[in-house]
Amino acid sequence: MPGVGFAVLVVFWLLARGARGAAPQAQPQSDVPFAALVRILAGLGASTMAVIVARDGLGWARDGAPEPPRALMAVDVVLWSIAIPDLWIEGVLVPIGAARLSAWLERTLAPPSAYHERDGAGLLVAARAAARRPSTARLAYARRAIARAPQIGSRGAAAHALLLAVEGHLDDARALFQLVTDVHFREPGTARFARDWLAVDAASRGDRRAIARVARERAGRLARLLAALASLEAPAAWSARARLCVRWAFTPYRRQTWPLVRRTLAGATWTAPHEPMLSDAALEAHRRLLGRGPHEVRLRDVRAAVEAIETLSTSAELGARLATRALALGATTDVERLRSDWCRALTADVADVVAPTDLSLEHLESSPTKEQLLDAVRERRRAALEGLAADVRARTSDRRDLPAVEEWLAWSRIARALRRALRSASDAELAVLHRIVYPGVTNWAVRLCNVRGLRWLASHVFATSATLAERVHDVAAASQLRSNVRGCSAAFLPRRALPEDSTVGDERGNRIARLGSFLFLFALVPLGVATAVWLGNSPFVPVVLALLAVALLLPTRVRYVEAAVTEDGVLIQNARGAFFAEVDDVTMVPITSRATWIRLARRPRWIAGGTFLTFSRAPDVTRSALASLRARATTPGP
Amino acid sequence: MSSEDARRRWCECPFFVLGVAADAPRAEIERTAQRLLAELAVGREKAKTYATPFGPRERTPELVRAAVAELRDPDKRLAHELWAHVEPASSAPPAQARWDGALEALGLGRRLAR
Repeated sequence: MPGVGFAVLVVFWLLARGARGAAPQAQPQSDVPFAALVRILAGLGASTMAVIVARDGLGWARDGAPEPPRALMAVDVVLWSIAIPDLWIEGVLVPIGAARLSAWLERTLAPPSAYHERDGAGLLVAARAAARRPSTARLAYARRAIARAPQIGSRGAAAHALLLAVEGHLDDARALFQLVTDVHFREPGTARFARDWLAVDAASRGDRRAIARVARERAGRLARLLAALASLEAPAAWSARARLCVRWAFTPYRRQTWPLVRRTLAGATWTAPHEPMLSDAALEAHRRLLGRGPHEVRLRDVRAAVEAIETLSTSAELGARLATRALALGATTDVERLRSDWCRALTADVADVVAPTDLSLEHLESSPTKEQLLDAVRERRRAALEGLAADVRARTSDRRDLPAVEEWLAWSRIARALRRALRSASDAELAVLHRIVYPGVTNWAVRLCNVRGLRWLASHVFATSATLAERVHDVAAASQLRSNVRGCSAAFLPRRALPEDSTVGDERGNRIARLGSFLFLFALVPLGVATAVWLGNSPFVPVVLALLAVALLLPTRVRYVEAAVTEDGVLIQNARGAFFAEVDDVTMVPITSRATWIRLARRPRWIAGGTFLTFSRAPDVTRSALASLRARATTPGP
Repeated sequence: MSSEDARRRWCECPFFVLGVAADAPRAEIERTAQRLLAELAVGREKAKTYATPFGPRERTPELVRAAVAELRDPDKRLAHELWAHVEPASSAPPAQARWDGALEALGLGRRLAR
């Protein structure tokens, strides 16, 4: 049965591929959606077999024909699982916490990513499985996988954020999830997941506004359900209640969210309970504000505290009371100065509470206390930003790099600090903030892009900095930063222009297929033809043949490597990045007058293999380059 | 300085530490301090905590000695009186209505932190 043989070959190939990819380490990946091809082929095989099984089954039921082979049905099930792996991953593996297996399946069969972060899919699934049933081993596996990932994009960052949340670092997790929703190069599914997480986090704090804010954009079904729950006023009309039930029925986590839905339908709302005021209104307002966590502070609390301070600073009654007490105690203090110092201390307290939040104070009523508070908040927010920016500046100048996820976390903190600083910034302050960010932080982003290959992250840094530069009318900086954004925004990494003194450079580059992939697809030909013959006049025959043709064409693009030999070494670049190998790390062996083997002693993980076959249209230039390299390699240094 | 520092500074107001009113006579303050030190020395449970605007805090002999020393200076006492005109709360302010344990319930975090 050629069809069964074809299916078994697919399964075995996947298993062999998975065995190599089971360890959480960098895997060389093809630049084409090879997994998508496998899934399409598996889907085709599964559909074909389903048709055959249905046909034979009907014949068996109607005419007493032989029963369809059970092995065929079993293989059909396996092929469906390959074609639609989410059935297993989302339905079984993540809920039971099978981090390793779900990550492997996702990594192997992930849908093609526009941003070449297929490892990220595995990372996120591993983190989700580990978070569903946390254990030291699962979390360690997820951490290890993230640390070894060759490239961290939005999915890797979301995975890291989720692990931070599991470990209780909710502030950092919030900042990172927020960044994932903001970053330009994000997978839509990852952004939805991040918004769902932010909405659940806001729900756990009872922050209805935050839920509504998160759900306004393209949020997932969970965030939209929470927003609907939070916005439902009691008593709700039956139509609103019915809509809520329908929404709940189509939302994941139905079991967990049902008690919440039931409570809301029973008339409970998420309105904050009224807090009774105690004796001294002014200090009570201050106490209420200080008692809030950074994510629970509301503008009305700040307004009450500011009004209270303003009252205290001008109250004749307080002045009289202080004078009386000073007299009774025998104190020699200037009571007006004491009051002024006290009000300043109260204002500083309010600034300490407000500075690490996203609150903007522009809507507060104008008063001297408000102005003092604004100055204090600006100073604190600017200092926070300056501290974070100084850290990345120092690391850039010392060439000290952090693991990719830590770089994401570092930027999420800077972005948050900048956002907060901008909320309270005056026009004059904007220029100060711009000077903090540009060029210190943007130089770090240049390093992130050029040296680390973190172009998604770098792009967000450039875009954010460019917006700030435009606000302060720094045309040159804005132009440069926008250009950098464009450079990072290409679907592929911007290729470096070949050096002018390059002695070997092939405009076409080299197209080197991975041998295993190529042989696998090559082996499909006889099986596919045999399947087509076996199917006879089935309408699937043209589809099978068309897919085979595509499959045979695609491997030529599996590995696209461009190599350019210069006086200093060899520039190797592919779709994932560029790497400059110095002379000492390069071995070049001429094969023919046009072809040369290049072998790299050291290489980054994203360059698969390490041996490349280059072709040149100018043999003389190749010979000259080889001679030059040999001479340079043998010449002792100064 | 963070808001936590501000809360701690307020909680360490000598009047809260000693559990006396802002207008308490000096003699009462001294007597209360001596009683608290004696109770802490014998490990009396009730003396080990005191009420503050942000809920109960741990009371130590060092805090009591520092508090009574602060209140002996009239100028410092006058400044501390400003902070003492609020009723101590026996527990944290009431939280807003919320979905407690949402992240844990959905397997989205904060399980190991407990």
